Amino acid sequence: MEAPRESTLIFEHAAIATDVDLIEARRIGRSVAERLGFTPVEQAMVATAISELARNIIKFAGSGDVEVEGRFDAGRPGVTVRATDEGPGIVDVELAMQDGYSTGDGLGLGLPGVRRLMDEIHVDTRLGKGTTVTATKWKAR
Amino acid sequence: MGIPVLRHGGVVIATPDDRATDADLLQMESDLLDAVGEHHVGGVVIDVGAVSVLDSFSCRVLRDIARAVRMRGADVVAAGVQPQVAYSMVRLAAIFDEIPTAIDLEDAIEVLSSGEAAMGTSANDDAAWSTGLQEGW
Repeated sequence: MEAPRESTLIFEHAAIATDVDLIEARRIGRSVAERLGFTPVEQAMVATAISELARNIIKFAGSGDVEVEGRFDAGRPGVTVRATDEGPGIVDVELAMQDGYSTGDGLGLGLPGVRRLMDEIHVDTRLGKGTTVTATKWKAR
Repeated sequence: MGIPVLRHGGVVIATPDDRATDADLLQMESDLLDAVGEHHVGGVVIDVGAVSVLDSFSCRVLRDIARAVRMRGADVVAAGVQPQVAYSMVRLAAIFDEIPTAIDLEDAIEVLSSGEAAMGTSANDDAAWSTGLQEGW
């Protein structure tokens, strides 16, 4: 695949409020990854990470948004997922990122799992204001 | 929409796909348990070959189904986990390590009839151990 040198954007968005919205969120993630030439494994990892992030939105904030951006960095394709809500925020982000504090039966946030599925993860949270989790996966060279 | 749950001889087969919502999965769970009770079937196959994402919730539902169906005296096999789905589940540490798996529906029915499913062991037990997370979620 011939990738342009400069950043090219593909942008998809899904409003998240119910379990039905998870289906659309997963679909756009897979679609953007596929259009960037990601392998089926990479597409599935992006879609699975989105599913977990969108679940957190429903579980902890009630509603929010998932944005999926396809871009090129120095010719390398990447998919960035941004999951935003105006929920209660995460009290202890460091704890939430710890492995034992994982998905499970809905106790943890599943962020360690998302980090293993994607390459980069950044959590921006403010108590009482909301949370934005930004995660990027780069296409393997 | 609903997930098809069909009885074929002594086996009940559920075939979810990517259109399944959480509510559909829970309905499938209840449909499968009803079918096991009403028809005295010995085995349940959940064919996930058309599912491209199995996340923490769907894995938990599969695990719950397996436990409940076993309590009703039947066995469960999950069939057709796509390779890319398997990779993602391992990364997520969302593994249904107690459910025997089969490559496809035909293989699943063979596993059920051979009685392997009743042992509650399968190759993915090893994968679960290697992550060290099988009890972690």
